[in-house]
Amino acid sequence: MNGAQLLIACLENEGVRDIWGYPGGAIMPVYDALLDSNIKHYLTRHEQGAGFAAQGTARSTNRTAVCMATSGPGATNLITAIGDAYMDSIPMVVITGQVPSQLMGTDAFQELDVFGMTLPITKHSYVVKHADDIPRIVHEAFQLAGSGKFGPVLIDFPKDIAFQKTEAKPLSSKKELPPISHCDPDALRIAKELLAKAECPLIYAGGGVEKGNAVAEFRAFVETTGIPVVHTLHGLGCLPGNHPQFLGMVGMHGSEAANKAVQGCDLLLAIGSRFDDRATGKLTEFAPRAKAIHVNLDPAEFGKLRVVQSALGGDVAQNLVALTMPLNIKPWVEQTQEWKRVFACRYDAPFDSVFAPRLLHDLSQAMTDRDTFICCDVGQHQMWVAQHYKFTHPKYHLTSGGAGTMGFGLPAALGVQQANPDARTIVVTGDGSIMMNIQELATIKRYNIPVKILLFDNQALGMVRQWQQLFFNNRESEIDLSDNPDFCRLAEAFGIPSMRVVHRDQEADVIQALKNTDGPLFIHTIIDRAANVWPLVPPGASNSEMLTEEGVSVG
Amino acid sequence: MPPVESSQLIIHMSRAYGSLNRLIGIVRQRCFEIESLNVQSESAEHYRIQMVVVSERNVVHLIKKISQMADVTSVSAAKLTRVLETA
Ligand SMILES: Cc1ncc(C[n+]2csc(CCOP(=O)(O)OP(=O)(O)O)c2C)c(N)n1
Ligand SMILES: [Mg+2]
Repeated sequence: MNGAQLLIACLENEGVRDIWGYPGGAIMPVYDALLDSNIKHYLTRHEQGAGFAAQGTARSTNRTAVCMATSGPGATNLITAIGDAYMDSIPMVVITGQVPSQLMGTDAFQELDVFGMTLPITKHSYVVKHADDIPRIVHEAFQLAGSGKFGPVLIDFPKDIAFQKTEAKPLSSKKELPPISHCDPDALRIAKELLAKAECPLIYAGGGVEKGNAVAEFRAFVETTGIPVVHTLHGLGCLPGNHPQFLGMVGMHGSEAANKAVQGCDLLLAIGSRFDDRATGKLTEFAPRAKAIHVNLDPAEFGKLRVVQSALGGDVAQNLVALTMPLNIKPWVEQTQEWKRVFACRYDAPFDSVFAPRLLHDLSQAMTDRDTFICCDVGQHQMWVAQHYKFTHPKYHLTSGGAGTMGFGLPAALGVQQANPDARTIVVTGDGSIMMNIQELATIKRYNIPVKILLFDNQALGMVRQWQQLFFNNRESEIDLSDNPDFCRLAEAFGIPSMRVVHRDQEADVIQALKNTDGPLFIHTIIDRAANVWPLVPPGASNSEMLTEEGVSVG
Repeated sequence: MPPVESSQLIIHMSRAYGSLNRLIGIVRQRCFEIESLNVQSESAEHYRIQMVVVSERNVVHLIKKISQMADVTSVSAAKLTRVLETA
């Protein structure tokens, strides 16, 4: 066996079923070995597409996914997807070809130091020095990527190692992972005392709930305690979007009810969340009168941004079970319900064009018949999804939160759909974002992947336009996209059926088409260029200083 | 502005390819400056690293992050009494 064949055998041994990638000189021996494997390889049309497609698989299944590219430019094209995976804690093993060992460090053709470039955005990384090391490295890479706080792991694979003969075999016995630590009894006792005393407790929950496989325990905790809930972007769906205790998303584009509750609570339970600036606004004014309990797998988060009275590390589900108890907080619950009623979203926009918030809201009501994944791009449309699509589980919402990478949606959807063949997968994108990885329409066609694309075309980089309007005296700078291509003809050129939507009367048709079309579909929806995302907390301001369509709302 | 403090870290870590670079990268990324660095090879597999870092950030967060590195077996820190002058 040579090193490349052993690498593939080790991937098979880890249960890898598919790889997203793009070949080239330094990785050719691995592509040759792939021909004799059961692993299915999907060729994207850009390495960034491969990186995000692998993320789509990983995000929708919580399984470690694999992407692969050649050295030099192939590897650098993966970097955005690696950084994105690092920020959102996505388990991914990235394999890059490298020039032969003896040429490394000589500025050889297509030699770039991808190991060095990705050091700060990987959980760990390897350069393979000898083929005999491959079984250990591959196994460790999968263990590291998919344990603790998930993240991307890079394996840089020099071409001479790929050709090296070896007797080594994939590891037969798998190393046991150390169990995640149990609850800290002191912190738990303090947390229970705080809970029992609180009059206005609030749960602020994020992506760590789902990543910790704790959605069921979370729901039980919420139901039994009766505490109102606000979610971060990645937390959405932990409590179903239409659950009475759910007050909305918190933070910059959070709901008024959610932000008011944060400002008013006397005990904040941060569960699987990390006090990110998009959620907290001005940190010193976030939940200003509250004591705090922090439940998080990762102890490095404790005290990083907020001093808390009780820090519960380790397994999130176990901690939640230990904290579950009935509480008596009726007046506070009624107050939050009142805010929810008063500040409910309105969907009765007066104009003739499609109103994206309404369409997304109605779409979510219609998609409950089977698993439906929504893969967002980045911009106003992404925030409208977060605000108005009622998620029934967090796994259905794929969004680039930490990095906010335009171009994420379409390739991520490819990975989602392939890993969940019976599910419906919808990309919600903007006219700016879609063009960042538009080439992946060819991948849809090649593998006949039945992904649906819902494009909101406001002929602008809308989110940037909105900020220029609000914070730069409406001086528009380089946000105009009025010369967009004809998206329907573009889709058709890739062999994908399309539909054009211009009037609000067609909103129901859009929903029916998304619901009932079997194959891929591209829906080009024209929306009002001037539409904004409301409410909005200006960057650096307190969450109590929300801007709304009507003006400033002081919480 | 919070005072700039220096701390001495003792780190035992693997000598695997790139481990030292990764460590230094984490120190930089978390906004600490390295004032002095002493690397000893304890064995064929392990380094003992003595490092003085300085920052206005809390060193506890740096230690937590370092302790999570796959290369690291142990890390400990002592605050140095000297408090540097800030400009
Ligand atoms: C790769 C990348 N480049 C730039 C940005 C900055 N950015 C954030 S939102 C946005 C506009 C997105 O435009 P579009 O996709 O049309 O969405 P809209 O806001 O109009 O709904 C830009 C440029 C980004 N997030 N990612
Ligand atoms: Mg746009």
